[in-house]
Amino acid sequence: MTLERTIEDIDKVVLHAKLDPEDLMPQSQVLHFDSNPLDLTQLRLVEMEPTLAEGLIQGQILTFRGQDQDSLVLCTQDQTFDVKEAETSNSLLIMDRLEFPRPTALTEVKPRHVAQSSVLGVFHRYLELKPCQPRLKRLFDHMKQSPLASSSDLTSGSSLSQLLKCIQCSENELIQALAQVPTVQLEGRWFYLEPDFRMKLLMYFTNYVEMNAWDWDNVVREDILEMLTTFEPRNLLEQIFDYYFDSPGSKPGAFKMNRAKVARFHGEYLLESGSAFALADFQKMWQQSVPECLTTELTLLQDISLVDRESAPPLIKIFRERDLPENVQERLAILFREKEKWTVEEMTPFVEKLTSAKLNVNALLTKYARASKINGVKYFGAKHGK
Amino acid sequence: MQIFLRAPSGPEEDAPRDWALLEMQGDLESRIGDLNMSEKFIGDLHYTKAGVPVLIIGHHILYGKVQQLDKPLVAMRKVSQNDEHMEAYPTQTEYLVQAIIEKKLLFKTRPKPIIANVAKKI
Repeated sequence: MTLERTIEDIDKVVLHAKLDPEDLMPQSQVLHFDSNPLDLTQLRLVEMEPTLAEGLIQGQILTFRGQDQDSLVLCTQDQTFDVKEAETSNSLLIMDRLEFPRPTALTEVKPRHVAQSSVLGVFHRYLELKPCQPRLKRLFDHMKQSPLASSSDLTSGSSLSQLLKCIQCSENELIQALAQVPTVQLEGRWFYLEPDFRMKLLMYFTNYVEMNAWDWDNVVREDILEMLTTFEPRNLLEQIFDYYFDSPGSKPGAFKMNRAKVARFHGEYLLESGSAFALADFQKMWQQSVPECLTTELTLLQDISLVDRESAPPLIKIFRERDLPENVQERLAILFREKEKWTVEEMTPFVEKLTSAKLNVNALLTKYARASKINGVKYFGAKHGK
Repeated sequence: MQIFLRAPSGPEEDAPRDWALLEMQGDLESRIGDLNMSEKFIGDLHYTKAGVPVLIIGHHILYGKVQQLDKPLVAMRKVSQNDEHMEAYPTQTEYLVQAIIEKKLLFKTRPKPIIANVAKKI
């Protein structure tokens, strides 16, 4: 610093600006650019919720995830945030040793004096975080590349840490997602079950229960696993059992079959075997394929199928929500190409995952699609469609 | 790819600093077009007894306010692999928290000129 500014220099300027030094707090600060400025190529500002910042201080680690082409996300242990760069025309000066006014300073009787504060760097950009849905599309694509077709070949599969490197979501969201799709964990790696193999495994259980005329609501886990281990490894069977028999029965050690899950898988399996089915035929086949205690309802397939009631006869085909793009506009473009007009109920299963606390299905459709009314029923169509 | 963001741990890493933010309209530029601003004097910052920040830069006076940030700004610094305490994190780079900025001085109005109508040397 060349010449140190004294309080007299400062107060001269104060008087010049027609301020009275008496009205000011005793301490004034002289601002300089720091002699040792920050390397702005190495430093970034991130705006985040106080809880996240607090977490960092407590030792939590946040993780940026993404491949080269992705827009970046930042993840906590259980949440995912979209990272966007914000630009401001204001200058954001990062200050070292800046003093804020303290209420106690008023009662302190001190002569006017000087303190130094310096500017370490000037920013015009910072990163903003927005909570977002985990980006799981790549998970299914990735796992489907190497499906598990039999328990004798365990060469494929991915470990959790491998998946975290390429999937843009938090660890807990990933674990949750893995539990919702037909995956199994064997020897520390996760596998997607090839549909035929998954059906074979499920049939072991349903056939066995039917054959012995057991109560579907009271299947004893230990008994059935013991009987079936001659066919497949026990840890594989356990995971299938726990997926389809997921609530406790009334007897100790017994579990209730999740009828919806079983019926849904049978429906999905059927849908996958062809490109489109006459709706009536499909419903008949589906009902025949499931154990007798099950009722099949189309609502079970609402996010994996598309019904075309306009054609004669009405048709149903496989159409998976999870295969659709995660970008709202791209997704809606595909949906409206499939079908010109949708009711909110029909559309909900396919857009629900894009909604947030602030933007529900109705609001999202109002924003990105065009509403119309036919015979008093509200439909949504493409915004710039016919 | 994964890049970690964490607070410095252990005494050998820099502890988070007590930085603050001063936000103002426009840019600070040298009048003589000097690009190296290091050690350059900017101006004087005062607080009135009511706690209002007053910044005098050259012939301009700015009135601002103290604001608590709803969302703190976390300053993070990129650290490359060559750092010795990286073993626990097998990635190539990571970000270390340098400071968590929770308060700012905001000067959002346009600067007012100081008009010297009294001929007086300063």
